[in-house]
Amino acid sequence: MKRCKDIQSMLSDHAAGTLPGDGAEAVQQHLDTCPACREVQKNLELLSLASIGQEEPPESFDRQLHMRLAQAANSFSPAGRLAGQWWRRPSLAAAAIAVAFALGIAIGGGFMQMNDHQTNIDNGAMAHVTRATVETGKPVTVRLVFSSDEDISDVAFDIELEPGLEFATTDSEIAAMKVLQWDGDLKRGRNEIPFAVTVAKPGRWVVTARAQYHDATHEHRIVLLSQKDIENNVHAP
Amino acid sequence: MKQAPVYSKDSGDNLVFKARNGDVSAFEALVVAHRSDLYRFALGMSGGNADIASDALQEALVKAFLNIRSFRGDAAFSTWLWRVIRNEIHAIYRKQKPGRLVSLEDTLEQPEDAAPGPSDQVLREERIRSVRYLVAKLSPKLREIITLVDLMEYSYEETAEKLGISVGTVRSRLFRAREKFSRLVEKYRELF
Repeated sequence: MKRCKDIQSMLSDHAAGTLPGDGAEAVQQHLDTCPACREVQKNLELLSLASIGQEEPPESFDRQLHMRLAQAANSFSPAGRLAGQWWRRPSLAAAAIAVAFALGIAIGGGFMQMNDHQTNIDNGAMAHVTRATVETGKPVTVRLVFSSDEDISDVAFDIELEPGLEFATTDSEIAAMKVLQWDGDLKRGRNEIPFAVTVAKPGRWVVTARAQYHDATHEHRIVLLSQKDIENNVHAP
Repeated sequence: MKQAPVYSKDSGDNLVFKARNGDVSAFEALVVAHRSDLYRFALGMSGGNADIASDALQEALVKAFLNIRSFRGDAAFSTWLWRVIRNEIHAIYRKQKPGRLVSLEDTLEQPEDAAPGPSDQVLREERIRSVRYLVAKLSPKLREIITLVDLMEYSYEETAEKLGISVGTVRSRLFRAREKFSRLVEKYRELF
């Protein structure tokens, strides 16, 4: 003897006439003796009356949706959101060591040794190279400092990490990335773009940060040497 | 401008890649195949109020667009889209009390543009509005199961997939939803 729950799950098919012979018979026999299920059957007929299977959105729907999406896209881009999210998040460690370059600013800290020089990169442009010694597993705040003579927009930024480095953030999606790219603006004067990285594995690892505007590329490389390797007398090249 | 390599052009799904980079047309192309079904879901959840359903679905789709980076390509895009829209529709309608999605007065009055016609047609339309009004009085979980199975005629398996639950859970939730609906029909007998 089937329970009401089993019978009620078959009522739609029973109404459509799609139940096999013995199933239909079982349902009908139950309905003949169960007022509760007969009531459900009546109500199912009401529900099928209100079917929305053929309803379509109003004619204005696509146009209105497009306007709202376009507005959303203008005020925001996925890559910019990631970068923006990042910049709004404070670095994880209260005792983060700040490394600034581009202006050749050295910020001292208990664990840090730093030097800065320029070197040629493949395309003939100049890259600033900064070296710092950090502790494995501890987040380090890096501040990209760009100076501009005027307001400029559509600057292409990217930050690339070597395998032993990770972006230090609570956003798991960004933490899994090795390359972060976005378009942004630079204001006239000094612009700071902070981000945090962690040396996940002892060794010598490079953060490469680039800003490209039209044909000009500005590149900074930050060589991070983990503290463990300093103690083991590993020399920074 | 290259994109961080969580989901790249090399995946073969160029539309998703473009949408993740803020391409509105690409997102619209991804959504077009699903928008009628999503609208019907929003309509069922709103108690049949087309204006509310249209506005809620647009709001939910904008949210999906803004959060498309959460689609990691490990399931079908349609699965991800349904889950996001469903969550957003629930959130939007949670801000409204069930009875206010469609008011009882709206249910009993004829629309302004209703042509005088055979009384059974008018009666039929009234009954439809009454049914949708009562469905809107169900809790969100019961409302969505009745919407998907009884109003949109999805199978148990399709419903399970859309909601991310087992077929067994669909059956038991549907049983409770229909029971509750029956009690509402009894309570509001005068509507029928």
